Amino acid sequence: MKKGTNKRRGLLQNAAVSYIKKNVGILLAIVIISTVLSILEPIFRTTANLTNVSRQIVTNLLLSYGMTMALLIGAIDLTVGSVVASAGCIFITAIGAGIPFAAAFFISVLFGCTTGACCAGILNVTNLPPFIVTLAMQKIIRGIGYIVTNGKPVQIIDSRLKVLGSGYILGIPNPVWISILITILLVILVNQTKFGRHVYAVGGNEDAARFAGVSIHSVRLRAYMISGCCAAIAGIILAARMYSGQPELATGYESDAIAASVLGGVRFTGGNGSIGGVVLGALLLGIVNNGMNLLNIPSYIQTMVQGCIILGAITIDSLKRDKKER
Amino acid sequence: MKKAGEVHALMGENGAGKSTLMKILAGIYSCDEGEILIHGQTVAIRDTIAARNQGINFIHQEICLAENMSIAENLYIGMELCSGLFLDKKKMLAITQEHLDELGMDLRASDQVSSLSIAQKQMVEIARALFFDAKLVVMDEPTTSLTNKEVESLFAQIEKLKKNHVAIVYISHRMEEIFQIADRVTVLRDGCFIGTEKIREIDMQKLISMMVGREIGQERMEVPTGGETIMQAKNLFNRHLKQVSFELRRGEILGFAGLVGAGRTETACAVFGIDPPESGELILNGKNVVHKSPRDAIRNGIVLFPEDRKKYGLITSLSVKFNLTLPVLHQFIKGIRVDSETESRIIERYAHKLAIKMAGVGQACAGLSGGNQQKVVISKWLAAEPSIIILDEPTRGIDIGAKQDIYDLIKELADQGLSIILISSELPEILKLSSRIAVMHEGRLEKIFETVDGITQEEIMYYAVEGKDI
Repeated sequence: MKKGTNKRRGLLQNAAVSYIKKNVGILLAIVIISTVLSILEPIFRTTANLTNVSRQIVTNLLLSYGMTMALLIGAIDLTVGSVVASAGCIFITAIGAGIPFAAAFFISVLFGCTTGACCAGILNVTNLPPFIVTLAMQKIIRGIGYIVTNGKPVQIIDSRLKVLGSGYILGIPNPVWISILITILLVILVNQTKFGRHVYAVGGNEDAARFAGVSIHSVRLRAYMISGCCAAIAGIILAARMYSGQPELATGYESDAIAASVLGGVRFTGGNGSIGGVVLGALLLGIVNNGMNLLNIPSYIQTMVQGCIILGAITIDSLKRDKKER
Repeated sequence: MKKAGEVHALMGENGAGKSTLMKILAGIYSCDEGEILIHGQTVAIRDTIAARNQGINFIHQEICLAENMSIAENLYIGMELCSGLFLDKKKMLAITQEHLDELGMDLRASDQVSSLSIAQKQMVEIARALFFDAKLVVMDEPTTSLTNKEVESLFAQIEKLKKNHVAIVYISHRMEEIFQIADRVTVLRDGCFIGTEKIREIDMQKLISMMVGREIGQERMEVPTGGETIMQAKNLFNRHLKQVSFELRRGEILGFAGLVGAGRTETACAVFGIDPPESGELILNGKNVVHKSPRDAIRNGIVLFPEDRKKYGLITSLSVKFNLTLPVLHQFIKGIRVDSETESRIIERYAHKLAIKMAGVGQACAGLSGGNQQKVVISKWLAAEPSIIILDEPTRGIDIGAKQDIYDLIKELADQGLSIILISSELPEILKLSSRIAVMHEGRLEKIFETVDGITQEEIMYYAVEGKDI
């Protein structure tokens, strides 16, 4: 009995050590930037601000998870931003139409899964490049949001929306709880299941995976469905916070999701990256954005800084890899 | 050694060194020693442009044309004509068309290459090689995808070139072509020069005996003869295969001999579900089965060790551990519970069985040597505990010591009662290890030798080169 717990602790310790080792660069960046911000602007380290940062990160984090699933299998999912908008619109419209809260939630999530399944289905049948297919689907899915809302934002007042979007449990915002739950689920899915291994196999070498008996189609289908599902949940949370569904919302969010994934160590070539790394990627982007807001840096400079961070991160990553391979 | 106005055939088994020699001429590879003489002068050929400047042109076996461009554009790649700043498309089209007409090819210079048939593309390749002022044209299996009529017109071109004092090196496996078109023939074996003969003074028997006769490193191994039939393929047919039928017995090693492109790998792909047959039956343990994907085949206990292990066998960016366990995840992952003990046991058992040299099971496969990569591929399939193993060129690119390890392993597996299909281009390997030998030629299974005793390399080569018609 005692031996068992010791062993478990050993495993957890090992996992923690390897996690820190793997992500040492980005962890250091987060620590340094946080320290500098705390000194420059004491407001940064207040509980109120940090809570705020965590809530802001949620949307991008969830989208990054979906993007990461697509990137891991060597593809990409450009629909995530559109799914956020349309799922939010469907959610609010459904509640407005008197559909029970839980059912509305379920319908929106189902919508997200379906859009993912559509993308994967098209890819499986046609063998077209994922970039093009998801780009086209991005437009189609956004169109659905406009149709549902008749092109105008829909608003409703509902106390349950306040709980979902702006409530707290134990001082932590409810959206953060949701994203923690999803993070745990995904970490288990990626590390503890056959599907997880198959994802890495398909991304690493699709031919070899096929020869090893992996069903590429099924892996792709599931990866995209997870992406759609995560994006839909992000859309629901966002809509709940704003008490409205806005069809033009979240335009360009897919690029932030790509940025967080890449910062977190996910490679565009597939088969490489981790959910744990993506958490840090989204966290770093969130902290930098918050810090620049606090320091009153103009928004157009902020955009440029984000671009520089992404470039810097992938350059360091590729230099590291070259060194390792030599 | 090649005279102007002569067609010189180059022959040899797979891997005899024909293509390597030609690649040195083309400047794709450089030679460590030796020199190339043209008109009595030593020339250094550093790259393909140098080769072209020496008047050496190539028709490659594989088609290398830019699909999205017209025939004229393809012919002029790298040397486009300009009038002023802009491309002179009219002139290029006109000259190309003239050239095509001269060659008697029924093609339009403005046609996009992607719209052409494979045979037509081959014709464009030929037209391109003859487009430049050639002194020497090297043709590497130019007729593989041509119809009889097109072959005739190619031969007419060759005759015309001969009259213009162009020397031609003609690489082919097809005997009848060699005897029809060549003046002299040179045979290579294992990268060595075996002999050059005038074609009039040699017959097919002699030629085949020059081609085979690679040293058999060792005595034939004692391999089991096999028991009852475990798998039967009946009339497998698809775009590569023409009614291929054979049966596989329990515990035997069925060797598959044949030249490159004879359909051996394609047969394996059909059985393994990568390229399912359009018609024909596969009977496994008395039951009809259909393999639509490798997944189906693996479920039925068949595994395939692909020839190109980097492309199909391994995920090189990931660890030995990951690769080893990929086909057997179901043995230790149930739902979300990973049984790490079983996982370690599987890895222990197979990584050590084959003595894979590595820093640790966490090492990425990219860092392993070719032989060790092959061992990882084999280990991962053994972990799947198959009943039928298909090996496609298992010893390609592997040094001699590691080869013997692999031979021993194959024999051991057969002794354990596994049925093995061994595809190999090395006849000695086939003769050494097989219980029975199947020979393929141009998509057909031409001959099955029921016993290996007393079979010579010549006999196998005869069927591989000729089929049974002649």
